[in-house]
Amino acid sequence: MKCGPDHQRTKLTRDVEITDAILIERLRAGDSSAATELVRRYSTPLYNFSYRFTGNREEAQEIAQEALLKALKNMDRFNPRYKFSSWVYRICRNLAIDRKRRKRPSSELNEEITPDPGHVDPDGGGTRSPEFGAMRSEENVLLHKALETLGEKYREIIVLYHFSGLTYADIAETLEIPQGTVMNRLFRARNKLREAMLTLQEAPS
Amino acid sequence: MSAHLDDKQLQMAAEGLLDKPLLEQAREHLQGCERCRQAVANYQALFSQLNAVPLVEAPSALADAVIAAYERSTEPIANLWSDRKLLLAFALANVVLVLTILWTIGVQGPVNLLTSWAVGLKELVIAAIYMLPAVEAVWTAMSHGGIIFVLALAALLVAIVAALRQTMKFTEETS
Repeated sequence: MKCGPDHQRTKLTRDVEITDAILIERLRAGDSSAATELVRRYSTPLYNFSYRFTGNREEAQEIAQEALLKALKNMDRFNPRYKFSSWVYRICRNLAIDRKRRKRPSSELNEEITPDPGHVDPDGGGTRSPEFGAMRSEENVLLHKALETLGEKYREIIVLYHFSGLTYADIAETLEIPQGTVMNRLFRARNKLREAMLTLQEAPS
Repeated sequence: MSAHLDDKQLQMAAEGLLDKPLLEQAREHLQGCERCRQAVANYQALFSQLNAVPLVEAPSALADAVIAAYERSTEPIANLWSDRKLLLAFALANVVLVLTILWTIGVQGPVNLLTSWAVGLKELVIAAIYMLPAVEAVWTAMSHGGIIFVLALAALLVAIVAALRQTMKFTEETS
């Protein structure tokens, strides 16, 4: 059975995985440039994952940084039978969950992932980043609002599959659940997402 | 297939993930069922929208900070102290050394040890060769340098607790 979304943003192709393995070998042999390459490769995916998870850019940056550093410093604990991507996503996810749990209830109302019209992207040097324009569309605002209403386990599986481009097998490794559970949870999550979007569409503004 | 497609089948059809023979049956059903056709189209639109959400580029400071912190951690001195096994071995070696010195003091007297390092070293070697029984070492140490011995044990305990905490913390985060 085919799996994984068929879109250009899919980052973790088989070729990349082979190269990851080579990079890890080089890193273990003491080549620090391999660490730089791994960081470069996973910064954006992990940042995005954390951002979708927390809804806060600063937190997302801190979580992604911590996850990458932890992975590099503990490379001797990485089991090469698994994919590096699954391992590093798992570290990142656990850090994000920990951070969310530590947050006080009063700060639960975090920054909306959906952009407000007056927002200037801090990473764009005063100009609007390309994704900002895309996210401004009404459809995407609705999509992100609907995503926010989903439970954590449903939101994360949609983020991992559709935004991060992980396959069912990758997600199963990351979440340490059977592949069948991944599929069922994803189906349920998308069904809930669609229902949430319909509800939001029908709700009086 | 006469019955409507269930939600899982609708989603799989929308993604083109249905396998034979279900694929043929679903195709046949969809030809005659407007409701299921519409549901598949709705899912296709949703998936397209999800897959089209662009990645937000990570700030360059993120990668820079990780690389800088990693390079600092791989410097020989930093590495020595961050390596749990080395830290533990170091603590153990110190305890053995302190015990041996204390035992030597007990046998030779403090003046002898301070004035002649050779004697101390000789006793160290003798202790290592004859594998002084642990009970005797502890007894001797307690008799002649109780405070130092307790401090050495406390240092060892701290090192072990620190190593265990570090291990547990990482295990929690990766499991």
